Amino acid sequence: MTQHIHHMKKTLTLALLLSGAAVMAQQKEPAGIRAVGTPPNPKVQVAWNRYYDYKGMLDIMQRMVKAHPNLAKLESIGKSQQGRDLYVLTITDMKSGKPDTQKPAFWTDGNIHSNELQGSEMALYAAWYLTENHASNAFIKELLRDKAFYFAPTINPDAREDFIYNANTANTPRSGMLPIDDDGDGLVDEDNFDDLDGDGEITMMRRKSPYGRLKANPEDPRMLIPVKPGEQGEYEMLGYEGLDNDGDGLINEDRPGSYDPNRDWAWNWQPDYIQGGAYKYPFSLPEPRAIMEWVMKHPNIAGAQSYHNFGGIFLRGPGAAEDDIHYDREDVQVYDYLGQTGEKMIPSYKYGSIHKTLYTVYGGEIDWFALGRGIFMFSNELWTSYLYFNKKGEANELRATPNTEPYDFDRLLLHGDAFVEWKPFKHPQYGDIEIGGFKKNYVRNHPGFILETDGHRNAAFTIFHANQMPKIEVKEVEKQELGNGLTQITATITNSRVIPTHSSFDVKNKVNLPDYITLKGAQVVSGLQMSNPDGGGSGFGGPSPAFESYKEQKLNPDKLEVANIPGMGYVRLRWIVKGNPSNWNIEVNSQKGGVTTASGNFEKKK
Amino acid sequence: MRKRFISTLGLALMLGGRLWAQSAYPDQSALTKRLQQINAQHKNLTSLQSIGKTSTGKDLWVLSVGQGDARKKPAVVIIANVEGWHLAGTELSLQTAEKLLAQASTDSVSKLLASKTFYFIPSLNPDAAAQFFAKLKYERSGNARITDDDRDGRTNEDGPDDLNGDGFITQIRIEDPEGNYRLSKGDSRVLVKADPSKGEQGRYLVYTEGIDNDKDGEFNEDGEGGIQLNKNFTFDYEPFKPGAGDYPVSEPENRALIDWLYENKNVYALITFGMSNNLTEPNKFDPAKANQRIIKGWQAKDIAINEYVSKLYTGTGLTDAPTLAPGKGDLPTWAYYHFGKFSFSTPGWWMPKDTTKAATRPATMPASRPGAMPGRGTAPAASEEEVTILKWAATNNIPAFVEWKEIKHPDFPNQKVEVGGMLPFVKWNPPVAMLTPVADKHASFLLSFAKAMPEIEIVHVKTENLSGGLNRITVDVHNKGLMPTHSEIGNRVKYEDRLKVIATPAKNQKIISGRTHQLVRTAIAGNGVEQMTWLVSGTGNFEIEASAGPTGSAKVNVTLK
Repeated sequence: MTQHIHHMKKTLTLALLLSGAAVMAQQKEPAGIRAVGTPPNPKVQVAWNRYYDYKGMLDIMQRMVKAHPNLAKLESIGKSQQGRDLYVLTITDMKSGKPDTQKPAFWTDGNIHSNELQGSEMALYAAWYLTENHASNAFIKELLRDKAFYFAPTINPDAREDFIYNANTANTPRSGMLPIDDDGDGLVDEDNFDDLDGDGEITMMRRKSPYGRLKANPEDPRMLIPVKPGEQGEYEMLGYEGLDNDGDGLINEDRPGSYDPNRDWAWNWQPDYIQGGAYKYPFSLPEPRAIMEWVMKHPNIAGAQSYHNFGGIFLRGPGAAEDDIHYDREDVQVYDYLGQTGEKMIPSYKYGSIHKTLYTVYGGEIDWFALGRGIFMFSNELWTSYLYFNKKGEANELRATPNTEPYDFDRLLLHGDAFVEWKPFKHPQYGDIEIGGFKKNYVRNHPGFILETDGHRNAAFTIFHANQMPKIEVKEVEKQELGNGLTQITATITNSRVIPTHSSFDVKNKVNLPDYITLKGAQVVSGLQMSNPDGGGSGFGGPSPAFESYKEQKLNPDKLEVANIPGMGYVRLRWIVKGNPSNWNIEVNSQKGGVTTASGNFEKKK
Repeated sequence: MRKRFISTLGLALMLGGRLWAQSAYPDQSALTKRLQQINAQHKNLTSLQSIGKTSTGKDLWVLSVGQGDARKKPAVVIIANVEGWHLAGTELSLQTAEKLLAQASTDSVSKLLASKTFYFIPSLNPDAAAQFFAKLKYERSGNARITDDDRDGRTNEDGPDDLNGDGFITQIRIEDPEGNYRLSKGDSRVLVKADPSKGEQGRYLVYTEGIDNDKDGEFNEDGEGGIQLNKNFTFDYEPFKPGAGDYPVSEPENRALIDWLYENKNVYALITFGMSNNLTEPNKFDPAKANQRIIKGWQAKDIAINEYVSKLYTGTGLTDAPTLAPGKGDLPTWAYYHFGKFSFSTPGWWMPKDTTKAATRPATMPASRPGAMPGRGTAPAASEEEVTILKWAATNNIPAFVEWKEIKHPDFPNQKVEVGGMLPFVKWNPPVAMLTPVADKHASFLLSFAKAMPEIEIVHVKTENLSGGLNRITVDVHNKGLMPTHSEIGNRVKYEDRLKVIATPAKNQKIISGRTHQLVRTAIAGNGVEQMTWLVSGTGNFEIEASAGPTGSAKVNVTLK
């Protein structure tokens, strides 16, 4: 707490004092107290076994910025439909000598589907973990020096508040809160759910009926199971709690929103009749529009993840089979490496493409980032029924047919906290019914005690992905005198990470600018880049090995335009200059690889 | 202003004082003035509204024509100059509006103006259109956004250059052994692509007039402008293609239009003056395309309507427009496939067929699209078609050609380079006088179209007293128009404003069977009927109203005793 006062003054001495204080505090803690992996002495205390509303999230972010002014900054990138600020929290080492926009950056968002709460807490956890570990963890220190993180913990704040404060099911609102006439009767949002029993939850309605084909499960009578043919039933289901508010014979058919913010993005966008949930055109909703505009202004974003629930899946694009052609081998290899490592990091999570693993999505966020902007992106479907008993359940993940696991888990580990007991109710349209069922925060959102565990594993996957964004270095700068007052300078530029500066799709479509590699302070006569490495890069069975060959760039030969610096690869550039320089000064300006400058002396290098 | 006047005058003199002096197409300020005048003259029949602004602040005007509250009546939207260089569309739409208003006092027209709304949007792309009035004239489709058309990291770095200083971008030809163009046999001024399979040898390289400013081997591939609106709508959109932008509906112009259309629930159909044509050549039914998941063909019932509307159109004498296939990401296809409305398009004016007869354009190929010019380094459509355009221009005394004249060209220092070729705008933008008779025909087409639009009435109102105060009420909701209440594709579209039938019982009445609110999800065909029935107990007035934006409304009151 006293440290906050020090932070008000930003002098170098104070900063040094501070880091000293942190080290001292750390030393005070006996080594045996600290559980490994947990940040030592976190400046910001957050309980990670609960969910936060808009105000609570803002408070956490503001405390992070206050405690770590050199690592965190908070900005609003636009307004939601109801006028809430859409926050982006930037986490990077701001004293590294480079602004965040000159570093490869990683975008993380959460909660695009408002009922999928944990995306927000898990994004906040990742930001918290990075800031609180920076002082003590060498890997995190280097990561934040080289890269920037942009966290948007909720990109659907209006409906998040609705989910938290108003009666909802586990599946609603999902949408944003833009008023829309869903049933086309000219009235807007006139038939929402009704919290008939006033408990803040929308659960189920059931009615005793001799014609019903359901009965109470003798193992756990809270659960209804189908009766066998020939067996007498006991109950019929009447859907979610509600009334026919507009007298059209339908219940709960025109609720707030009911479009899908994740069908409002500009890749293979399709209208509602093809892709349910689409609105007028890409970015016709204010939240995706604000994000799009911000992402367009931040071409340094090279990797991204969007936190959803559920199913335990790392999804890459494409959303639709016809876009498979845009994912060629080189790009898929990158995704495979990342996704397969993720499978190891979070047990039971699976990696795959959206349309093959989940279902077809047109106009989804992942495709726009990946193809529309050339950013390697995953959608993390957090929480899986595997986590009930750490084993694969018998029931289908997404369509829970008679699956006793959620009931068993609730009974054995939550002691009934996830369930609203069935209670009788007099329904104006249905007569005598009973209302009860699982609470909205169950089945999709993590139970509290698993939230931190899974949050950490997921954050580690995000960090792993982010660390694989390009790391560009200038290596091996050599010169050779050509005679007649000309000298040839050859430089090798490497990328020591898996993600290239341009995806293969990006190279083909020129989505982003090329990498500019400039020899500064020299009189350049000709500029060339290697078009073919020694041996032709052909490996086995290719044409006979050849020597390196080079291609000339006639316009602005000092500033070479390089289509891509491949992952775990290099490019080689050559300049023919006047005179015989003793120094070199090279700048690599790559949108997704950052700005890297290096200089040296030829004589010394020898 | 003064500068422009001088240069235009100079040009007019040079070109024999015809095309530019005569054309008198309205620029944005003249267009605004004219719309304001129309609006002032017909206050009780029109209203003028700006639905948005371009990035340079030019208004996007909508002129509403009709009596009473425009939004409460079924409407047809007439949109022009999405292309930017199609000034004839702008002028035609204005004249059509003027003709409608001129006939406003006649019985039949006044009846239509009372029951329908006509929305005229004469120029959706005024920033591109401005190039027609600029010092340097060329056919421009791109709006004022600064774009990197060739995606090389530099913006607007290689636009066309007026090498002969005549104020027009035409072409350059270079005598070159690698040339792939030859002289036309029909008109030796015209260059035609040599066909090696016919043993033809090329002698010329042909490019649009300019210099390879950025030395990338392509000519004039990244000039001023912009996003081409007709490549920037969502249907069949192709990202990253020159002029298409990075994502669809990225521009203030098309965003404003779509938002406005979604707000105006009364819109029934769109008619576009532009470079596609389903009015003289209706769409053909393709079951595979019409039934695939991503629908890319008109639905069967909509084809029938297209054929009918086409008959209305050609019936006015507007026949033989050239085949013009829709473009990827264009407005008319968006309006049908994504907005779900009937969408018709026509160039409005075209060269008469007898002078184009000699054209060798294959029937299945779309005509050359001059909007693509200045092109991607290759020459604009130079074909035998130019020969016929020049013949027609000569017959009508319209300057159309700049004679080839040798110049010095920095990219071809040791070769013979000449500037010359077809003038821009000639093919699709005739002298304004030629548009007057065509506008008459479009006005009468619009009237016959409006007459055929759906109209709802409630007929065959029947009350049967069953027993014990229980009545059965039966009505027919009848579409007395010739066209359906909405398109067949509209059956699928979520945001279509469908026919709603609302029954309002008196206080002491109770509906035993039937609903107070009913939605007719599927379109009612022309002269089609949807029967509705209620079982009602209790006496008094039982009101039934059927309404939808695109069809209007009807109401009946039944008294139960």
